[in-house]
Amino acid sequence: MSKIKAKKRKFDWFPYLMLLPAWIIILAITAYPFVYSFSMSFFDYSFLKQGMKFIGLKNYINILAKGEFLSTMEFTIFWTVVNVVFMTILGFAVALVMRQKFMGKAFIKATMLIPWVLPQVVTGYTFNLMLSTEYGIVNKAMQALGLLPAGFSWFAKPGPAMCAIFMANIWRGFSFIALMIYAKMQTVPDSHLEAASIDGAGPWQRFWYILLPYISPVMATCVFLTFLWSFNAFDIIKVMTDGGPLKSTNTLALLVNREAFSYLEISRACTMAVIMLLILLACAGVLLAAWKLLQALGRLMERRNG
Amino acid sequence: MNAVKGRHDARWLARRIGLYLIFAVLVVIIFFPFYWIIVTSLKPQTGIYADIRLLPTSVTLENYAYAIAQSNVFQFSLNSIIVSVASMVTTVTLSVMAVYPLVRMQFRGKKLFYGLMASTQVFPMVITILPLYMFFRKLNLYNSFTSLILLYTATGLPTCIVLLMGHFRDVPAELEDAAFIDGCSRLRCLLQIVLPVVTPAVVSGGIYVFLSNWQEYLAASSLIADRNKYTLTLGLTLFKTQHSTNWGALMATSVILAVPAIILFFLIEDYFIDSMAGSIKE
Repeated sequence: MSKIKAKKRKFDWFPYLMLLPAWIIILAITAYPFVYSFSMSFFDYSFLKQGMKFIGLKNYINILAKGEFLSTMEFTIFWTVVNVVFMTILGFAVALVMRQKFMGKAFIKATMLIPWVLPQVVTGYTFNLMLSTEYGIVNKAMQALGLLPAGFSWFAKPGPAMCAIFMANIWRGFSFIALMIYAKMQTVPDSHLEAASIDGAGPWQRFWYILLPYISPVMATCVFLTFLWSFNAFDIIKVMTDGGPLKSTNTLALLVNREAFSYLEISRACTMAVIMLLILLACAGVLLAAWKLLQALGRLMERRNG
Repeated sequence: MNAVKGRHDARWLARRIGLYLIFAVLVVIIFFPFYWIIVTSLKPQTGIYADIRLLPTSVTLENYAYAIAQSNVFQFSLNSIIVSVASMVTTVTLSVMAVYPLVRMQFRGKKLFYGLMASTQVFPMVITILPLYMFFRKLNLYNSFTSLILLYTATGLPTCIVLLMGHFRDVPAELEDAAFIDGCSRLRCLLQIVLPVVTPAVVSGGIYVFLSNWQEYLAASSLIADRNKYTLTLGLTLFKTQHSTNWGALMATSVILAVPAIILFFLIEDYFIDSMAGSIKE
């Protein structure tokens, strides 16, 4: 990076000027809403009545005390965990399969991101159709195989409805994870693996002691990414079940959205949003701490194994 | 995998068969929903509801005709194109402006900016959309493309900047040093020397941003009220009413929504995967 010494030491406006528009827009669209939500949560503003007055923490107390928020939070966490686990494990398994040589591998590599590129609303509606009671091909196929009773509906009861949205969301995400892990696996230097097998390490040992530590940062990133995606997921659930039979597949994201745009309770929605954000940050913090812990454990084991 | 040539024993064969079986299952899982969208869109209405089988018995374009001629899908597509292209242009412009100083220059506030970008990824749109809705209402921008374009630019900037940073870094500094010595200003350097080199990356970044906005649903549904201003994503939801769903037309519109996205994505797939793999290292 060379600056011509002949330039006098005057203040260089250039970088600040170039970054200014980006600063303004990002601040306006991200920081401002947070400040607004936070402050609004202490009032009782709603589209359904005139004026607003300061009510302190009443919103928080009401929302946390009444049943719906807590049960929705439970389901959101359940939804997130299941998604993260399945997407990561399936993605990892597929990445392992991709490492083998077989015909058609290039084709799969090129096209496996289709589930992720497909617009989420399209994915939602498609799974709706495939699992539809009267017209669903999946239903018909499974009924023909005797796996489902006739007239089975995925969306009438909470359990099957949850399965349906899991299927759609995991289908969407696992191939992205698989590709990410596979890409990283491919960068493991072959020399390490060859040296290990010359020293007599079998495939399982090569995997455990060389491959796994190498890709563990990517795995951590995958877990974190899938966590963010799933916690904030909106389109697919909204389109498939809109909160499910009797709010059973309601997530915090849908709750906040409905409170704001259907019930028009602005302050309550802001309160829910702030709490949701706090939960998100707390979970992210837990994940980070767990990752640091695993890293420390890994180093400990290395030292013990010499 | 060490397959000793000529020794096709039972274990090797079992392995191969197992592998191809898994491969086949994978292909079916990945492709079947997409296949189903296309097939359903081409089935006549009777075929969708009465005769449910893997291969259609007859093929028709009546769903597409219905969607385009009678359901405003053409208008919706136009709206989507306008919004996505406009926000792509603004996002790319602002990103290029931002990436150049970030990569090439030292100044105070760099870390702060990085922090700002990182924090935007944490806030879900669900939370930010409500205050923004109020904000745009106050500015009389509610129900306008402008509000959507501004929003998309803000959400696209962090991603675009990250995508571009790696490619900008790869441009050798000597290229610009030569120009400096000749008295070129920073801005001219950016425009005439660096930009031509990173054009493929910039185009890929732009297409990626275009794709995210093309399929976006939440912001559009919150900020647009007039039906004739609906984007394609919103228009899709119109086919499912409380009483009935026109699956044929819905799938036809889905094809119109999805196929351009898939084609465009294939164009940038290599760049995108490279950028992803590269940014993971950081």
